[in-house]
Amino acid sequence: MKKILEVKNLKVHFELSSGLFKPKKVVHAVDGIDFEVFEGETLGIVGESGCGKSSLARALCGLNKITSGSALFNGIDLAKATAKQWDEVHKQMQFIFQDPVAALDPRMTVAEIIAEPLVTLYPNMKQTEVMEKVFSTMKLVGLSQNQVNRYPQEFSGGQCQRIGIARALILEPKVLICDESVSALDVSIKAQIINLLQELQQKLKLTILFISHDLGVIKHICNRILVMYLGNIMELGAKKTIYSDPLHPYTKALLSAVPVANPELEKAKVIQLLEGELPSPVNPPHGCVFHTRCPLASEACSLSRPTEKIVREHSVSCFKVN
Amino acid sequence: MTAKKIPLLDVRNLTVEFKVQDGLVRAVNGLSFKVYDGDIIGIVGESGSGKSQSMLAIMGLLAGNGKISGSVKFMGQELVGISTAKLNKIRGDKMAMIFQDPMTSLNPYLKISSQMTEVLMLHKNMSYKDALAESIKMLDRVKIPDAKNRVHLYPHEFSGGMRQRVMIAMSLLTKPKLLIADEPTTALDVTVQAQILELLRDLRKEFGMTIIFITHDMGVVANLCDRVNVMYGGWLMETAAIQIIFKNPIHPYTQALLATIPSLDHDVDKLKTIPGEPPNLLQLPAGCPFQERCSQVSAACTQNIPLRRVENRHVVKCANSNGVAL
Repeated sequence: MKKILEVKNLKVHFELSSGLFKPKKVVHAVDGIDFEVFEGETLGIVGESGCGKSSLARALCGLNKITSGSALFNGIDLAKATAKQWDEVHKQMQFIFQDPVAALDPRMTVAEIIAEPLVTLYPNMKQTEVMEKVFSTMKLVGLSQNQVNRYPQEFSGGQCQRIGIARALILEPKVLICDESVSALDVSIKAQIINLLQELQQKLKLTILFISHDLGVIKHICNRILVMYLGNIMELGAKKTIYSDPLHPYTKALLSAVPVANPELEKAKVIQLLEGELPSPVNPPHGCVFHTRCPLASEACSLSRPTEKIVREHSVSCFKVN
Repeated sequence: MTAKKIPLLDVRNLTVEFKVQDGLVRAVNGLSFKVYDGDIIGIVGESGSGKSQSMLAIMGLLAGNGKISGSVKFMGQELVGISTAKLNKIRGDKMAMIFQDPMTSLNPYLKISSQMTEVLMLHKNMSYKDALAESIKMLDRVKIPDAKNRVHLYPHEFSGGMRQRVMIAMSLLTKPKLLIADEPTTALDVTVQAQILELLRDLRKEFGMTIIFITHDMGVVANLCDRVNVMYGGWLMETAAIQIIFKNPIHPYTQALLATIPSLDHDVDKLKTIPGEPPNLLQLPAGCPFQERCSQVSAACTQNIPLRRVENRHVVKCANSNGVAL
């Protein structure tokens, strides 16, 4: 399979404003991660709030600045890309947001919203051609043509998310980054949008980065899964084995905490409760960032950061996994 | 969990309506159910199903334009139409409610200590000193580390999970008989959610509390609840013990709802979906609110549909189901 995105030692840090004589504080949102994305796959990124999954996604789309490291996409290093290069990147990589209603400008009609990326990145395109594309994209995502002059507030959450997807797809991108794109939707609508994304992926041969905290959805939609904790990758592997044979203690705890809609399984299940709270990303723990809450932690874990190793086809960062 | 003769909470034909600019919104329509001592009841439904509004109505917390009819009996006492002064003696004391977002329920200007002690000083006539000691004990009980010192912090100094614990501790101060929890874990991470669910289970054991747990997550229901009420468009569609509802759901909506959830315990190629969208409460069709999206719709669905008992404590509101009309 062809690599479409290659991320190396990527860091996204945010400086907190501080006083003149106060020491500078830095949020280590993403703290040196490496991974690759292959053409046509769906890579799931999971983790709890504050693990850096959204900061990562936004950095890959140019919505956050990359502090250091590199992210190679189509020969362009996103860490050093110029505004012109970003235009090229955005033609091929688009973003779908979490809150479908907040992501749409309430003063723009559906046509204007969906056409905007096209008008911005292809300013010379004829109006008729733009409208043709708007109509065909609307059809693709299951919106009807007669809704084209309406405003976002006239639509339900599920339909707004369809508009958001249409806006992302009108440029015919190769990569879609979905940041919690179905989390705000009701159960019955969620399934519709998930199916739509899967259909579109097959039809358009899309590569999808799917970020979610919902492990059920991730399991359904993704081929490979990347588990993050406090700005670091804990484990990366194929979906099947991540769920059936999780290796990293954090992955195990995370999976055991997900309630399953089956009372018998729930009764039989032993949940590994994590003690304590997520440490602050301003002062992440030394060594393995998970050692403060890890049931297996020993002294070695607090001294140095574990390097990635391949165990049973997973890439896992843990001293305790052999 | 043995069914006692007098239910702790007996809701009959509860209807909640809101007058809005565009007409009358019927958020809850003829809701009837009973809650017995010690049960944990889950209430599931999508947005607009009336799950929150029915509970707010029971607590007497409806918005100003809300109108309530029907009957709510709590420990044998009728709550509909009761004076606010009388209601204030019951809620906060014998029944308490916790909400999805603890930050909006806690006063950001007041320390946790003054918010917690207020409850006890008001309902139990305690002195500040006793109330503070009791508050610290309760914070300890919900596993807030260093409760002695942290009781003097402001809400923003706690994390989301800790804030929810503070809310739970606060609602438990008076040892209420009934705790109504409105999506208390929805905004939390799964690992924190697991901690809170565990805590609620422990607290039920310890205090013999009855819990009504509103959620949209069937996994949480399977994890925590004994029984579940499924709501849609203001109607109670189906109610049964969880073992029954997950194995043998009768209402087409319950069946569809369970089928749409991407699950950890089995794989499917394509998720089943429910076509269409949740109904507009301003323009509900006559009869069943689910008829437009239902795969088993028939002419009878536009008629008045009675609640039917399929078997003991398994009740369904569907025109096409069997069972004895109630």
